[in-house]
Amino acid sequence: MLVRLVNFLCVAIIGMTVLANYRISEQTRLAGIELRATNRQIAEDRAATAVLEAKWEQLAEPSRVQAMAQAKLGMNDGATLQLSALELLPRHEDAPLGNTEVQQASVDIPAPVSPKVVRVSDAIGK
Amino acid sequence: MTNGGMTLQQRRIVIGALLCAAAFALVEVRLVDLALLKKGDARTASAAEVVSRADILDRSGALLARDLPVSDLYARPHTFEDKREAAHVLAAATGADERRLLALFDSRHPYVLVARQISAEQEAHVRALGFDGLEFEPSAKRFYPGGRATSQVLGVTDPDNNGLSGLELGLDGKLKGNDQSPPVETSLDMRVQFILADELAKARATFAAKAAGGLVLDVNTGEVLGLISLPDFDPNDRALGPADSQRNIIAQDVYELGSIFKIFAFTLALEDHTTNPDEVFPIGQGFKLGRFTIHEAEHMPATLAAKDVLARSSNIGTAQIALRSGGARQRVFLARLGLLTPLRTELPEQARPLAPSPDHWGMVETATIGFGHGISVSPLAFAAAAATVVNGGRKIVPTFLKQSGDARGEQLIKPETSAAMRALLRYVVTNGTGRSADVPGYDVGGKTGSAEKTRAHGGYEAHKLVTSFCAVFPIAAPRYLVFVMLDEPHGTKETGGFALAAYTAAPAAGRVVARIAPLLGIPQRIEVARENS
Repeated sequence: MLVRLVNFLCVAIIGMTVLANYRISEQTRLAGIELRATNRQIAEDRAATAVLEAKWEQLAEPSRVQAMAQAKLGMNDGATLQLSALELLPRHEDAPLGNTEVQQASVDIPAPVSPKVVRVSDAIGK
Repeated sequence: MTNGGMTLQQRRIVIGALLCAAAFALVEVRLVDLALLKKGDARTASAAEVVSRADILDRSGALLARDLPVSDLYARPHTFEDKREAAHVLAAATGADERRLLALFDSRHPYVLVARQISAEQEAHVRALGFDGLEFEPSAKRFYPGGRATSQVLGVTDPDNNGLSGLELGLDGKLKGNDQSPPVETSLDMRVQFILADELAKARATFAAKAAGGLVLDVNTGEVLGLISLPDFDPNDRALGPADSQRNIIAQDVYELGSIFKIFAFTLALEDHTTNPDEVFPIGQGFKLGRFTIHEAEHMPATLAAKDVLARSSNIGTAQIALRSGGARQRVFLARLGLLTPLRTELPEQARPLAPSPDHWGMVETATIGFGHGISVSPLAFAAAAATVVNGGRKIVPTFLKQSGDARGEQLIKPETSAAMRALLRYVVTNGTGRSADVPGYDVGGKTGSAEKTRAHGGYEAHKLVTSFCAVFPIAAPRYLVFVMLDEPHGTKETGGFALAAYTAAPAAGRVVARIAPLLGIPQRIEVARENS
């Protein structure tokens, strides 16, 4: 009688274990499918982002920006000597910051080139 | 009913237990297989398949080249009810040749290529047509956001995404990979590249030059910040226009660069102490050397100090200085500077210099090579040698990959000679032919070069010039070298009809320096009396 009971319990435990394992296996399979879909979505989003980044670089390409600035805003590239690094800008204090030498900023600006200036609102409105 | 001490019932239990254990083991194996071993299956393969080359970036991380996902369109023609209509509609949607499609559809091929590398928009359009028997294979197409500005230096790939020219070919090994491949950081600076392209295009248009080229080189690291060769081409459009060219004249072609080469004659003379900047040389109306007579391009005084020989670009004075060095010494010196062998960089395009053989390197050759005739080198090789002269005398090899610091090599020239040459180059700009390249506050040094072009069958074309200017700034402690070259420029009303480098290449180089120096953080050295507030 005891042996039968033990046998029954063993079979029952094995059966339940098999069912539990099957359940875990099935959950893993479903998780795998979900993971694949998520990874595919991530890959598609990455690809879309890569395309957008490339398009943005094309839109921000300097020659295009210069052409638009000249055509729409009447800007000109004649006064680039006004550009200077922040650390080179003159300071009012006598004591330099960070023990750095005070240097002259860009000050020699070429003669104005009389660009054709249009109002931004007019240019945008066109 | 016992057998070896085990009853029948016990044997059945053992067998049943073993069967259960085996079944359990199978389930476990499958679980491990699903949960661990097949983990990689969860990753989509599409990205890896589509992206087959790494990005190319400029030194600041700006994107220069990237693979974009596209599709190759295939068709099974036997599924089309009306093949003529299918060919017409698919050709309109993809840009494919309609006659080619119709021929393919009428052939016996069961599976034909309709179009390669169609965009996502085109794919959506084709799908909307509702044809059966169409298949889209994921593919990739190289895209260059900088367009023409980077075309000559980056090169292109073929439809199978293999490098064909430029850095795409030179760095093919680094670029080929998958979506996990790290981007390749080049030495190029997109801002410098654009400014160089802009100024060269303007100069080429102003002087109606056949071609124009230029580069910006860091004289301490060898990094090429910008390289332009005009005419260029659109790398995003496979078709070349009638005015386009895929030839990189800076790396691929050799030129007799003329007077700009005097830099090396003077460097050698100062290195060997065969002259000094204040020594006076007779110039006269011509310098006879055997059966040849060397003339000046412009009128010169009867005598000139050595520094003025360089500043006013006297051929006769330079010939005398070169002859003091001698042919053998001159050849060894130029060879050490790398001017007699092809320059190897990451660019696959390279040029073999043309120079006399040692047996034919006589007095006449020594004199003419002194002022830049009788020897042809690529502008890139010239720039590398000039950088070596001004950077303290240490060898520079140009590179298109971002460097982390000083990359100067072997000491080829004494630092004192290099300093003396920097002073002379500054003198050329303040007192000589390079005045129009001067930029207030940036202490530009440089040298002009105007060389008559050689004829195919010997001799020179008197009215066809190659003009060039090599600018170095700031001259006291040089950081950058700007080289500008114009092929067959024509004089204008503003230049009085002159097409020499002083009127054409030098001003263009000066404008490049004026625009890039602030962006590169070069401090401007101008003392200005400020108003007291």
